[in-house]
Amino acid sequence: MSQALPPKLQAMVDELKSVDDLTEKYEILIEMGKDVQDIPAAMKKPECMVHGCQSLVHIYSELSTDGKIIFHGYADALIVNGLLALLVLGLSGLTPKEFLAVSPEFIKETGVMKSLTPSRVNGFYNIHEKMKVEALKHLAKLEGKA
Amino acid sequence: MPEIARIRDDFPILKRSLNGKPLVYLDNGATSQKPQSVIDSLAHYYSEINANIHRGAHGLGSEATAAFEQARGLLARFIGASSGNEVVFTRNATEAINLVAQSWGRANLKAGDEILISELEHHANWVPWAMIAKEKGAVLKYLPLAEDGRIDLEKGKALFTAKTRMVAVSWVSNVLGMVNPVAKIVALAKGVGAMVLLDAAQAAPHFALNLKDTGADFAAFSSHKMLGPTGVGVLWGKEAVLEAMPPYQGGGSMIEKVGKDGITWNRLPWRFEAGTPDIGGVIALGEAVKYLSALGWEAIQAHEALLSERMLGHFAKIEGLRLYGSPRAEGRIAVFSFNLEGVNAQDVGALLDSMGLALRVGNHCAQPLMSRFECAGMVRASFYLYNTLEEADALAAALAKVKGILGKETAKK
Repeated sequence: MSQALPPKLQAMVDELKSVDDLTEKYEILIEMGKDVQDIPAAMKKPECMVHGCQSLVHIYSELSTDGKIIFHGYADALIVNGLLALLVLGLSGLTPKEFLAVSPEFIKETGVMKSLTPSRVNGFYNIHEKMKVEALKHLAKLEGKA
Repeated sequence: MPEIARIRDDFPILKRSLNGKPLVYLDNGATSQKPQSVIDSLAHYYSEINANIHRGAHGLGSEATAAFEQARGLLARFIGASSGNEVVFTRNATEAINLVAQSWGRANLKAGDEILISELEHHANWVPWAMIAKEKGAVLKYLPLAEDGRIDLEKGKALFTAKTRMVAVSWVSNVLGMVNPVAKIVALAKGVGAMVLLDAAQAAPHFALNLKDTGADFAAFSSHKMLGPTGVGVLWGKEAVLEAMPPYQGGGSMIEKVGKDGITWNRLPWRFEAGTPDIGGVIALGEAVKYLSALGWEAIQAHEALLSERMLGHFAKIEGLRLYGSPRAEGRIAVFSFNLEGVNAQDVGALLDSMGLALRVGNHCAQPLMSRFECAGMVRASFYLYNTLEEADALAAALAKVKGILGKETAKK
């Protein structure tokens, strides 16, 4: 299933692919992480926490009036925050169905995972998993309304 | 000691790269690399003499048994044991400590007895004692640390009491690299009639243990941190102490006679070696011991002291770097844990890795020690005999680069 990536995410992936050096890739990730807004302290609650990450990561979402999911999240380590930027910024503004159609495997293309420890790789997938739960929750609500 | 370049030639892995950069391997506290002689020994065992030991009516089995027991003899001399009967092969240092906790602990501890460990222990020398203490109703007590990261006996000596039955401490901290005052600890323990176990996992690779002169009852260490293969650990115990202990695991090799009317145990050290051991691994550990002996402790320690001085000199000049443990080369091995101010240790580790430097970050299996220093994790650089001064310089240069990348980030925020 090779689904085209949303344009914003595709641009981010392309930027990471544009350099070979891993240090440079990390620098780009750290830079991307700067566009992630820190979330309100009240949202850093257990329900929003992503488990199985070495750093502290929180994620939550809301559904806009036109049925698009807006994700919010923050990580306390810079490289993880960059990974989170790919997901939160790259995959916001999609309908739940559109979100669910994007496989997180796009991360393999970027070349940033090859050297990350298994726990960090899992951390990325765990963030995505948490987002998937949010998307399914929104979808159920939308379909319940329909 | 031969020139460092010649030593490095013995370690084939040191020629590889990491993330497109020359590998700078500074994670020796986790596991050391292996010289060609150890690698060849494993291959030779499986291609030439593989057979099960202590059984079989064939010459191959005798050859394997002889090589295995010869390695035990080598080990015994290397660590200053009284005889091979005091050397028990386990899977690793962790299993060796569990063996003592379960065998000695179960037979000797009772409700209200106290087990004394320290705040810097690796989980391997914490959890087995917590488990047996819970089972027997014994109490775990903790020796405090001084600011330099060593066990503080001034503050801690009151914890040695008539209730203390076992004192189990690290000879060298796996995190801070500080060498603990074990002679004083043994003296205090013996003063109250307690047993002593030394977790020597970070000591055995770096200096002569001379175990029978320590006055301790047990010591535990792992092959893989001292140039040997993974899968082999060593428990040293005073013969009379081991002799009085019940077996830990049951199975083949550890028995003398098994019948419906009863079972009798084998002699030392086999009583504690149930089942087929890692035969090839033990023989290869013997090769590692030969390699270390040929270099000699004096030369190894002199080289590691140079590495310490060079690295500590660099650390002192890096602004915002907090080194845990003493900033002096005396009383430590070349293992250093640190943090860069305001920076997550995971980010430092990942960036260093991207530059070809292999270090460890995290809690280093010592979560209580992280709490003691009020941090979630540390970055650890652990050097060994094949590391060079240039690699210490490379770490300093890489840290400056990391600071540049991450400092840019904090400045912009």
